[in-house]
Amino acid sequence: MKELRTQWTVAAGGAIIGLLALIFDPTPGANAGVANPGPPIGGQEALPGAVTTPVPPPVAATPAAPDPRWEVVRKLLRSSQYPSAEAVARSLVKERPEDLRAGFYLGLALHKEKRYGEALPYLERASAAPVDSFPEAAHAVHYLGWCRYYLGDLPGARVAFTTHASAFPNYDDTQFALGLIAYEEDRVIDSEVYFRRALKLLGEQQGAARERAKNLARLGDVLLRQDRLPEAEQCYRQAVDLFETHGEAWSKLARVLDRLGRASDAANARARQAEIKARTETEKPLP
Amino acid sequence: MNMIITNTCAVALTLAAPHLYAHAQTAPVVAPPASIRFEDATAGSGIDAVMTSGKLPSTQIVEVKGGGLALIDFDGDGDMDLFMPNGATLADPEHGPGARLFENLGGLKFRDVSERMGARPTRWAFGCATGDYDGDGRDDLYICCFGADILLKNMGDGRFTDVTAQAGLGDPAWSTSAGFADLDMDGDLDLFVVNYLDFDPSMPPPPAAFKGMQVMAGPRGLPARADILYENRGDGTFRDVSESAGIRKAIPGYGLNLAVVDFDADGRLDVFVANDSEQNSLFMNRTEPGGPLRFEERGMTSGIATNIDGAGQATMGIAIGDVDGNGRPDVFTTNFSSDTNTLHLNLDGKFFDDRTAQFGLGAASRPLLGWATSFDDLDHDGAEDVVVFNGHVYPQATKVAMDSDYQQPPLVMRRVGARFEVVTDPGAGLRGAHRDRTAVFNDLDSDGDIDIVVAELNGPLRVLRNMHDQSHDWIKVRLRGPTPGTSHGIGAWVELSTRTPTPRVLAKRWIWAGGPFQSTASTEVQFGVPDSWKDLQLEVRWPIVKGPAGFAPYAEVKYPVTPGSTVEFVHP
Repeated sequence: MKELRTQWTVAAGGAIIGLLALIFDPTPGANAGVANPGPPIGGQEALPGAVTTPVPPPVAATPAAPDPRWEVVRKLLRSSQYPSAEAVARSLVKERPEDLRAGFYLGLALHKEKRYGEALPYLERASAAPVDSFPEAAHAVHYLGWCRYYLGDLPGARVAFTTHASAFPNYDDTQFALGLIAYEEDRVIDSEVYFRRALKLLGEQQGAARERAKNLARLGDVLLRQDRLPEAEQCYRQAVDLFETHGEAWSKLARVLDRLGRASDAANARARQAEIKARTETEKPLP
Repeated sequence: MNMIITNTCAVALTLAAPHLYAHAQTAPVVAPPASIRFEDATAGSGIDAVMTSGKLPSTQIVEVKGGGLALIDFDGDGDMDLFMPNGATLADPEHGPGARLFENLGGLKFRDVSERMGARPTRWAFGCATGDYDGDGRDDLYICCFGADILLKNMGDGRFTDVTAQAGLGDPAWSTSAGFADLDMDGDLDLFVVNYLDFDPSMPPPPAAFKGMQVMAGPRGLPARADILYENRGDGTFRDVSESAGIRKAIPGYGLNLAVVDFDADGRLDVFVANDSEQNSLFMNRTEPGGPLRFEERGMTSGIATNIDGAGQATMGIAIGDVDGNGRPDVFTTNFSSDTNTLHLNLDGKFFDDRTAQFGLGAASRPLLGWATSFDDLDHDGAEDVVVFNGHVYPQATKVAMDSDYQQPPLVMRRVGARFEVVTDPGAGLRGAHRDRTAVFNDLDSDGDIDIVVAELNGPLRVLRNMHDQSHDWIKVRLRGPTPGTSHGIGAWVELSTRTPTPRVLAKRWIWAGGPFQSTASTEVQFGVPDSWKDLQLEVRWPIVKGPAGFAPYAEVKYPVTPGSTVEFVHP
């Protein structure tokens, strides 16, 4: 279920931003900052972010005294070695307790480990810092948004993502997050707008298929919620066409097909989902 | 049909013509400021029980579920008494401190009559079902155990006798919950037993990891045990018909709870089974009156087996209510932390749709691990609220380490308009963090509002008094069916409607078997009645019942009713 994705795009300011090795995880927000392009880390590459997102210049703001561990953390995050990334980031924080950037990376590593409660204070602190404090500072609020979302703090998440969206309106994962929050708040029209906006931002770019599938699956939910079943079916179908092993989308497709009275098609979709699930479960350790 | 009214002035008993009024959707109620308040009334209540479930800190899966609770009117005096099948410890699973029985004396006072029970099981027990399995007019007890289950016959003098073997019961699988209901419509109570998994405490699986921490192993990887359906032969014995009835066709799940409800309004009772860590099951009843029991598993195809993302959840608690006002029973379930509780709307009796977000029931539950739950109109504004009792299974759980604390407060959500909103101060009784597990909900002090008894893992039972305490803004309904299988109206629904200014349904309740979590749902229906509701009438529909003329169609009867009444419907 892991995919390396490297892509180059042109930022609004003309800077070329490197986009990174990202993991796709259809879980909402699980890819924040990894599946999507995000803040730069410095050096020649940027940390994950929105495919079309303009981000601050990557090199200029790096610490005066480069520490090779920054690069180590970035590489570990890119290669999904989150506990290792956490360990390195933690050592940085231990040495430099006041270093907001170190705290940011620790928060990001914990966020990737889905340990949102522990990540929260680090990301809160990084988000509260001036945006020029360290290169990735302006994006800390994006990850803070995901932490709040997964801790059940919808209003807090909405504030964080809205803040980020105002600075980076073309950041697709933030639009996706705002779509999820609107859905949770039963603002279905808003939700639809956000998901469609994220899809537009993702466009037809190579390497964005998984992100598009993720958004399409959620857009399908919004349409289903409005009893727009044929349109929902189309979304789910596009999602599985784009990302064939998107088990969640297969499940959603099966559900809408059942409701449309196409039991045989639904059974096929469900069988596909079961097949993916079985394969996924054999690939991961028991909980 | 007869109707008996108590607690109110005389009311003309007029039988209205069936189908006189159009069935309208229940209108959402815009509630006044929150007024849900509970106090802890344990002290002085006479309930001094501690529920045993292994030891703290829990180290094995068998220790973390906690035990069960049951509402049972064992002495037939009209109020609900309390039974606690107790747990035991790993050191001696067969010999725990023993079950407890508390007689309701009124006014939230109870008397411990455990010593007079006669048969008083000490085996490690979990959930419990109540019902008059032998048709002698007295409710009996079925106790789910880690080991052979136990059937206790109510002897009528406060004593119980273990009749497990005589009744043909006593399956040794680890069962968690059970429900008595007349599933084949022949007049007696059949029994559905929810099984969990095979577990040998002497050979526990290796520890697992959760959020980067080493924790006790969960169910995954352990063999699930299939549920069992017992048909009541009508002579005080049961036979296992799981195979022939189609229950075994379903993939065995890690069963934890059940709700026996007529989901498709065909007069036959269906069975929803809550499974741990995987998809839930929905057994739709296809039994023909007079024919053998037959079920079709439709969990996945109906949409109720998983959440909106197609993910199986660790489902524990179940609440049944008409959340969207379409007249059909919706299903609310409680789940693990870092997941959400889930509301499945019953769209048409055939399909369910996860509408957790629509009703605002998801986000607030993410940091919580939910167990017992119930829909009740706690503030009598006409709309059902929901309470969820919470507590983590991992002793190491903290908000920092696992995004969720070990001890957690109850989640109290009040219906406000089209959504539910968290009640931040529901009173001292529902404040504070605990390791809560099971609970029962009922008007235990007969003042018209719903009280609660909740059991904490290896902690004292708490009696929570609803402080609503107004005298005439409620209606309670009890059903008395013509057969043992319908003696408490299991499978019936009760609808409260008005004729003014136009006929419309105001609220609807189902009487169901199963319960909040390893416990029994109240068979007594309660409605809160706001001042704006006038010119009220009750309608009852029974499930298909075998009567003198065979399998009679179920009755629909309307009666006028006034607030402040306890109404007893007696089926002819």
